[in-house]
Amino acid sequence: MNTLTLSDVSCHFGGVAAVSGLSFSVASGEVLSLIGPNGAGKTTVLNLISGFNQASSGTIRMGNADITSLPVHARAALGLQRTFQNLQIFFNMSALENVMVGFHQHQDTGVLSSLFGLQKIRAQNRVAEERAHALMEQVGLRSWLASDTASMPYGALKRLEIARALAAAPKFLLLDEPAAGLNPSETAAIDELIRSIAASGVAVMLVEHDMKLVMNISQRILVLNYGKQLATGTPAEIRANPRVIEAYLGVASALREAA
Amino acid sequence: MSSPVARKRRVDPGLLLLAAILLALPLILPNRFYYDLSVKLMINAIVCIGLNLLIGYAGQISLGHAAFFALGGYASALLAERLGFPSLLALVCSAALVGLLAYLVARPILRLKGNYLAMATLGFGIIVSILVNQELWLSGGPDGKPVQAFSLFSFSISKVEHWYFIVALALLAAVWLALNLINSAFGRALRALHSSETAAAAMAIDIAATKARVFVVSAIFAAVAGSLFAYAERFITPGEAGFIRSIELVTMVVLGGMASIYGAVVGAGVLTLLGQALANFSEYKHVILGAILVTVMVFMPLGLVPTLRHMFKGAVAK
Repeated sequence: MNTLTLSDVSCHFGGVAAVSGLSFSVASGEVLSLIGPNGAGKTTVLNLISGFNQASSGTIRMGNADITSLPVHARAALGLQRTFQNLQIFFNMSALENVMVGFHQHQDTGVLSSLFGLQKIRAQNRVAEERAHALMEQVGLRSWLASDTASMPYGALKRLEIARALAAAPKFLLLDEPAAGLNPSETAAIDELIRSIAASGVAVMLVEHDMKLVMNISQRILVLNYGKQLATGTPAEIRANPRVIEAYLGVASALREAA
Repeated sequence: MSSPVARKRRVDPGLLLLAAILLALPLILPNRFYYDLSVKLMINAIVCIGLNLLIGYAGQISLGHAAFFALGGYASALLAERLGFPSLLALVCSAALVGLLAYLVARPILRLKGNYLAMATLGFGIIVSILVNQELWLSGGPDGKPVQAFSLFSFSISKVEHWYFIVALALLAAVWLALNLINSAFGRALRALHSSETAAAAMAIDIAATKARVFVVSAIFAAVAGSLFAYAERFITPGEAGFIRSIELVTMVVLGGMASIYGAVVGAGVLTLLGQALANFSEYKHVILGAILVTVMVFMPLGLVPTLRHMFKGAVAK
């Protein structure tokens, strides 16, 4: 069982406390959603976990490993993957190559063996390409298999990021607004996809504004407000929590709608 | 499933074409002057292939690659002359030394965010240029340094016609190595960090280490080319280490095409020939080179080979 655990994590930017005293954990097979008003610190939490922001205090653990002060790439090498709210696609590469980059940590990246194009390198290129194919099909990008990233629409690029993250075979997956900008049928497909990822034993953390999606697929929800934990519980508990409705007044109707 | 990645070891068609051109070229080279020009062209191409791995693929700028080129040449000459190293061993050792030096220059710089590498290599190039000019006891100073003939198994190779084929072979090897590197997980990591360091780091790519490694590879390409130059010309001067020479190399890469192995060859070819054609207008040579660079950046920012490739693809699509 792999667990991602935050203990009393705070993050200050100058005098502003973006996140303060946050503690929670997410276990393999679980979908934990992080919700809250704009500016509540949701993306900062993902950045703290993935290493793009450094925690001012507190500890972050992956399983037994303390990753609080590890650089981004080292956390990724331990099995942490994420997608980005603002797309971070490698636009100088094809869709398939983007996914192939996801295999990086599982491949021989030695300069000498790469220069001389050794048998092993060619074999792993072949395997990576075939598996990237399969992953693109898994996330519903079958029709974009031979595409340049520049010609792909937003929704497809969102899913391409998920495929790329899955290529790394992560234990923990952080999804930053995977449904933003998607139409209802695409959102339904993302819903299915996230369920299947969690079912395969990955711990999934989701930041999302689409309340219907959040309520549907989360085992637990954590509500953030001004960088602090406002509430945590099952979707039903969160929906009934008066403090959440008060802080999240603008979306209270959306919550009811989703219910 | 059809696949662009070779099932079996398959030689790149561009490499075969290049080999054919290099093999046929001596048929039309009228005299030793043109052999020598071809040798210089191919040596520039080798440097540019390495430099393009750094600039075109990884998106890092070096303004001091002439220094690695010159150091390779001087080190080879000195190891052979002062320490009695066999020519080939001197070449290998000089490449290793330059690689180590490149690592020492790049590793601390590349930890920093931003384009400090350009500044560091600029400074490094100037220091090397001053040293080879000033340290008469070692480099021979501004007058340059004669280089012992290259000898292999007691055969001394000094004819330019022979050097043509040696350097041609080295160029083909350079293209082959670079193509292999690009078509590997390491090569994809280079292109990835060029596009988004954020996403590349999230994909477990160690940005600083990867940049340092490709910088060392490109410095070694330059050093080997420098050694071949010193042996082929039997002479090396501090001008080879100069800032202008570094800029010339960057111009070749940009002109030929960023992130294109064959672009580096074409860029080196065009500018070497142009430099020769403009030899009589030496004062204006660099003005014209500058004008070419600006024109290319404005009208074909991708460079010659990628632009032509796109045009060709577009024509086929229509």
